Amino acid sequence: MHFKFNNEKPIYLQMIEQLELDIVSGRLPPGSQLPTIRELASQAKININTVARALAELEELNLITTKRTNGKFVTNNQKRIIKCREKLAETTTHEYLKTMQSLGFNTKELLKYLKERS
Amino acid sequence: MSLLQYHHVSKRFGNTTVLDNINLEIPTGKIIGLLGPNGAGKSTLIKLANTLLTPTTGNITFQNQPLGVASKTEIAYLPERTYLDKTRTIRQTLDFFQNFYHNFDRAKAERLLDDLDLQLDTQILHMSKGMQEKLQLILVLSRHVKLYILDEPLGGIDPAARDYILDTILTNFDEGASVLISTHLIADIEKLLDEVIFLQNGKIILQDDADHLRAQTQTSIDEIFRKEFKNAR
Amino acid sequence: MLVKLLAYNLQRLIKPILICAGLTVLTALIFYFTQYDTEFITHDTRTEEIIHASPFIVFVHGLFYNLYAICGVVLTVITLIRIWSLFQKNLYSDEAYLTYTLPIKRHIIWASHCLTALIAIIICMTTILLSNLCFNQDFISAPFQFGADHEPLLNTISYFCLILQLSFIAMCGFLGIILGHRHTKQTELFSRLWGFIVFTLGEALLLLTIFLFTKLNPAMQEIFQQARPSIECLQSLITLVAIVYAIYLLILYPVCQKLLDSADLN
Repeated sequence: MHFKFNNEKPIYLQMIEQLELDIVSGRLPPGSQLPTIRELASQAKININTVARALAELEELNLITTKRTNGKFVTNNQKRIIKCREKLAETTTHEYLKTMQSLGFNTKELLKYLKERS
Repeated sequence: MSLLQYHHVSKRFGNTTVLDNINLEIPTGKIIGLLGPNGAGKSTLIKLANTLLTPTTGNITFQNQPLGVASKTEIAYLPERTYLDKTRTIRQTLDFFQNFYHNFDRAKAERLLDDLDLQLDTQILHMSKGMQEKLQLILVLSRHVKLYILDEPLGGIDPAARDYILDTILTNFDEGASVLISTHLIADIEKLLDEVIFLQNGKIILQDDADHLRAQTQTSIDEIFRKEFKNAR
Repeated sequence: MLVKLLAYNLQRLIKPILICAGLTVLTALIFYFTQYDTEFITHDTRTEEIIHASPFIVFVHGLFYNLYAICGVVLTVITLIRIWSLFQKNLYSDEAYLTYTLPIKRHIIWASHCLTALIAIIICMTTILLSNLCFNQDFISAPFQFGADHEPLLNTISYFCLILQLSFIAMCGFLGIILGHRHTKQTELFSRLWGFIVFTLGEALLLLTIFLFTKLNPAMQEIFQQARPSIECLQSLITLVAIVYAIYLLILYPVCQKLLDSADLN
């Protein structure tokens, strides 16, 4: 698993975002088992407690579950994953629109620009 | 219960006050960064915990007991300098550690040394400084203790070796143990930290959860540090 | 723990001492085995008839007489220097960061250095004592024998007295190093200075004690009045000296221990 963090934002938030991306994009398929906290910390080169915190939050969001065998698994709940996808799409688009508007694009120019490139 | 407690600790050398009324608690299970410019008192703070120095006023307790043989058994200290007998070989040094620390995991140390391709019969004299420092780090991390204190573990190490050291620290300390890292090279290390303590002119000016600070200021710990100590000597 | 420390300390300082001890014994043995008819030396009128030895053997014999003296001195000096430098290295150099963070009380660390010193001194003195057996002709050996020939009691007392004296000197060195490092600069200079001061004071006090003792015990005045005092006199004198050194050690040991307890490492 590949992680990239910067120092300017809380690390645990960044980890949450990147795991959400992995889940939504299917890199972490529904029902699949996540690496252990130690493994994640080692791969991401961050603190174990930070990883634990991020996973706890994801569990609150019902994106992952803990099975009795003490493994963490991606949820099978498709609705949840779709909802997460929408949330991520919303934030990304919002950011994008803000930037493009600051560059001087109005809505018509923006739509044309996008159509040419998709 | 916190691991290490400083109660109103001050340290003076002659007329110079190096630490001024320090009240500090180091919790269990956390990686804590002790950050501050050179001369802030970081090394002094650490040496006090290891009984290398005695406080001028105040006292320090480890798990609510005064410092002594019990605390030294549960604290593993990595100083800035090489403290090994350089005339000995690596193997003899391992023997020494095994002999005096009952919580020394020799098998683990040998495994880590093997990863570095270090021959056990090499004399420490003949090792480069970087290798000596890695050896010391391995020796310290191979002990199963409650508190690891690392004083400037990244000082004078090239960037490639730094990754190795950070990785080794991350993956090798005992679960539930705490690690106190003192450094002024913050950018490299801040992703690892649970908590940070800022020390300046012998006083603690900040102690907080790392992510909490980032959320608050929307910047990195490194940035906060630079701003805070812009006017330091 | 104490025994382990002792073992490590001894291991570190013993090699040069053993080498010197070996050389000392060797020179003594060579001296012994190149003995030739002693009448050669007495400038007796019978000399011209009794020259047995070749000039070469005579030369070697005389040479090793001097070499032995040098070896004895070197052995003692090296023993003391190794004892001091181990102490300094273990407790006041970078290594101190390890020594003081070992799970061992400082008392034990101090005790281990004192015991190491004692053992090294005993090895040194015993070597010299045994080697002196090669020099058992009266007129040559007078300077070397601890006492007069065939005076086992005097020799034994002298042996212990010398061990105590060397121990006192070693202790002065330790105290000097401890006090010297309380200065922030030039610690080496101050270490030697303090060591020397303590030693001189000790010796001065010893002389005073001897003087007072002779005043109280007129029979002892022989020491100052005759070139060769009686054996009993020497025995009393050397016993007194040994007792004084023992007292010095008994006082300095806890003093150093206390100083070491509160020592800061910088």
